[in-house]
Amino acid sequence: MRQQVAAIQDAMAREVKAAGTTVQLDELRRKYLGRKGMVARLFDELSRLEPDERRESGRLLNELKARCEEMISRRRAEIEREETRQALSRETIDVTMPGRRPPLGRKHPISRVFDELKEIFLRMGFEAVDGPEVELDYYNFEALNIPHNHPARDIQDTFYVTDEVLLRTHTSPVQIRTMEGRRPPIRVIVPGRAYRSDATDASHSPVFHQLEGLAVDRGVRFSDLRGTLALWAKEFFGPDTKVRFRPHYFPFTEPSAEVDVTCVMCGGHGCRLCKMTGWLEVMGAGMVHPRVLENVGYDPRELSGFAFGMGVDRLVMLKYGVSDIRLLLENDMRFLKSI
Amino acid sequence: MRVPYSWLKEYVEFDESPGEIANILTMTGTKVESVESDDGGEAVLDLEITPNRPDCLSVIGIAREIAAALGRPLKFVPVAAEGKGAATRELVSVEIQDPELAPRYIARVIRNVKVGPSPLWMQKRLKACGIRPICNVVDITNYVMLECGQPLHAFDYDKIRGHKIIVRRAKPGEQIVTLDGETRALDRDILVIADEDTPVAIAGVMGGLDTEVTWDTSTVLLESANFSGSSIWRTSKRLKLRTEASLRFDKGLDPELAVLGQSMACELFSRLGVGEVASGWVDVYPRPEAPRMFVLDPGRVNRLLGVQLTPGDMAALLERLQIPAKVGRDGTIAVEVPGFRRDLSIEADFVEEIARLYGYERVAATTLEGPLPERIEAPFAPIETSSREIMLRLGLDEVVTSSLVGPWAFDLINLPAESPLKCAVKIANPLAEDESMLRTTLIPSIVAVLRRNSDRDVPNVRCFEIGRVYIPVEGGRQPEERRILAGGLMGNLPEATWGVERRKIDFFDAKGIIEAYLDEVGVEDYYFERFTHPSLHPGRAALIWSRHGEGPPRELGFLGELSPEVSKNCGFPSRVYVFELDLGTIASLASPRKVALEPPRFPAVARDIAMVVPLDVSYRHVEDAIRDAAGELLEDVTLFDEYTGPQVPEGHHSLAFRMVLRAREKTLTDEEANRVWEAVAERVTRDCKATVRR
Repeated sequence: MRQQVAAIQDAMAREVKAAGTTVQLDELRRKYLGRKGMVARLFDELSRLEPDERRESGRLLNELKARCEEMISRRRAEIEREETRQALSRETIDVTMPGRRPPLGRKHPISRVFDELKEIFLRMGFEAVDGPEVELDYYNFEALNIPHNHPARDIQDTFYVTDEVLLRTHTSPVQIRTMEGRRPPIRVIVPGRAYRSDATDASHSPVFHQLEGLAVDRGVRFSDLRGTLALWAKEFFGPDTKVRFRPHYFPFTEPSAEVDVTCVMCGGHGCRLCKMTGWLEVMGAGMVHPRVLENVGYDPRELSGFAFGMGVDRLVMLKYGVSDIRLLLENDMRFLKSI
Repeated sequence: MRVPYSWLKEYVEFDESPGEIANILTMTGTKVESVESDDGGEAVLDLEITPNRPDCLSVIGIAREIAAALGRPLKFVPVAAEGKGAATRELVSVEIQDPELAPRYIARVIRNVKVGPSPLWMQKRLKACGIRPICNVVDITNYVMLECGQPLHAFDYDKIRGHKIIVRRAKPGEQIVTLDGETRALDRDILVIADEDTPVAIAGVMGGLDTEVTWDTSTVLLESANFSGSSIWRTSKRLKLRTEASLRFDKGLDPELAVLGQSMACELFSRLGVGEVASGWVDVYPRPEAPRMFVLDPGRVNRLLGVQLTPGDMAALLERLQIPAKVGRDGTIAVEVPGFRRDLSIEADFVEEIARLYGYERVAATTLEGPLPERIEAPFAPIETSSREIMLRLGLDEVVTSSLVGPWAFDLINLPAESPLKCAVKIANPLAEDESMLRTTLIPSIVAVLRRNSDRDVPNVRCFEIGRVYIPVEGGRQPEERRILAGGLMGNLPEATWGVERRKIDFFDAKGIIEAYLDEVGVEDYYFERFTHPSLHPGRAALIWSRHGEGPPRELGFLGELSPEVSKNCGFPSRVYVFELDLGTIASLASPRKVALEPPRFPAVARDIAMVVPLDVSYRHVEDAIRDAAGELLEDVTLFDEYTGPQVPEGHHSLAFRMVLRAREKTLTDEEANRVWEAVAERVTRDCKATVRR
């Protein structure tokens, strides 16, 4: 019996190993372990043995049966793994083929820069306000200390609708409208569109965008303006950016300054963009002119403030390396999608 | 303004290079645009002089700034050219009729003049400053103007009738031929220099041709005057004539400068042997200016700047600028405002002088203190921000276009003559007809963007813009500025890819974007209604309404396919869809969802219903009927198939809906679901002429 068991086990081991499909395995199972299989037949012979021998052989046969079951199930798992592997292998794709991209809406660079600027100033406690683009002469000029028949009017070429109505030449009239409407403390920014009758070229567009800032309260200092803009420059252009204030003249601020930042291209070493100066002019700023405060009914002995105004189109051009302002309003999708 | 470097050295001692001087000037407020070199290779500074500093439109003025910045003295010895022989007073008389416009007029006479070329050194400097040399007499007047900032004019004395100068307003109908050969009509607003009979010069702007100095001139009448800045500005603006003289006068000059100008010129006439200066001068100055005094509070200066300077420091800085300043016993600073600094009139002006000389860059950087302001926000900012974000999420690209348009915009979209959109705000002084008015609709801007891209072989564009339109208001000075969301779509969907079906964008793609947008922004009960629009396909255009809240439905905007004519004019290769929505209206209706919905606890039952419906029954009618008949158990109904073809009778289409039914607090039974289905089937059969497939 022992020999028969060993023979069956060896034979089955050989055949199971040779089986390549689960169907073949099923057949082997029938052949060895089925109701009329070889193992069953040996069990039948047990009855013909002596009781002692019968017990021993029964144990051997049970072991054989268990071992055979195990062999088959192990092989079955192997075959199934292989079949899965082959099936998946037939599904192989070329992963280098192009992906299908869902449409991705892109924000216009002018909006992006506006949003970035808003976020920076909102963190400093400023809030965004706006006002009309078709403005009264009073708000655009008069109230900002730019009287009629004054050479200061020459600085800004103006589109007029009538003698007293014009397209605002800057976002500054919103300073006046804001101050007229409320009492200090005031901290606002004015993102918006403005117009000048400049001939169009690579750096001038009759329609352009500005961001104005205004802070008025008791004790607002020129040094606060310096600090606010230094912080802005680092946030907007990067932590190594420095600002430089140069004295200048604006009718609506006194003292006034033009503000430069270290060149975005060369970092201040001097290059073609900054005309070898290392600096780029980015805005005008200053302390709100006392006459402007008086014009809105504020007492300049009690209150002071600062204001600044930056050209957003220029900031877009610096930020994204755009050389021609006209590209911004042209909306060539290839240009817009490139940044 | 251009100033030769070497000329500056005559007035201040310095060793700094032209580049260093340029930097010093720039950082103290006189911006040097560039350092150039003249023909001889000599450095010339090109400066930007702001309109508040006419005193800097001169070599002496710039030298004064350099001296102040470097803390060195200004080398300036006033010259006195007394002249000799006959007294000027005997030779000429001067009358100022309007001292408001002409505060001062000084006349001198130079006799036995030998007109010829000026010395080469003088010509060289004039050229370096951008002024063409003419003859010694004229060149001297220009040279002195460049040097000290006082414009001068030389008349041919013998051509001044009666040897009499009358400074007056021009009379109506008077005219003059100016040096440039132009005949100019004059009026009461224009100040002229006249002789006994007629104007001989437009005061402060340009002399007359008749009295100009020629090669035959033997006696010169030299004018050194002071005119009201605003009058000269108006005149030069009116005549569109800007001259070296007018751009100095129009900013307002010091009446004392007239004395300096004439004496520097006469000194040159004598020294260069151009002629004999008659003795003395005629100086009409009816209302001499009193010296202006000012008291500064150093505490306020420090507080405004955020610095800690002593009164002594401040006074010293002002002194460097030739502004006499004394610290009083009470610590205040008494300042005497020099005549040449007419821009200094209030405390802040002196604060700037102190700060710029101290150095803006030495002022610390501090942060704003004090309480935060009350919250305010631009009324349209939230709707603009959320609309932009939603459109971007829907995969549209944002565009930004000019708000200036011209008649082309109306032609582009075929607007008829009577269209109210053609009533636009017009610009009185446009640069070009193409940019002569403010837009009343964003559609032309969007179409122009699509066309530009289509012309450049970019056929797939889905874009939107958030911008303003400007609608004239009856009787109002300013138009109403409405915020608009507009967009345009053309090309394929998906754009270009492999392995999936590609198709042209159609009306329902555009409509789906608007529906998704309105849902997201929180406008409820909106619906679409066919309408006609001159720019749109007559069968493929819809007005968008909302029945939100009380009151009549509100119009939100429209969408549609561009009409074949518009499309053809633009050369579009495929159909184009545009839309325009009024953000003001949407903002007033939008109520963004604020309460989260928990997922339902009981399962839903789906029931499909298919029907054949005549084409003249609108889809909306069918869907409304289904919703109404299904009642509360209906969670959602969606159209999943629409079909016309052989199996469907002519004039009909087949619609297949999926209804999702759910009860809030139990699982629906099949029977309950079937009852809903039957109710719907019955209703559409009765109300929508539908044949339901069973």
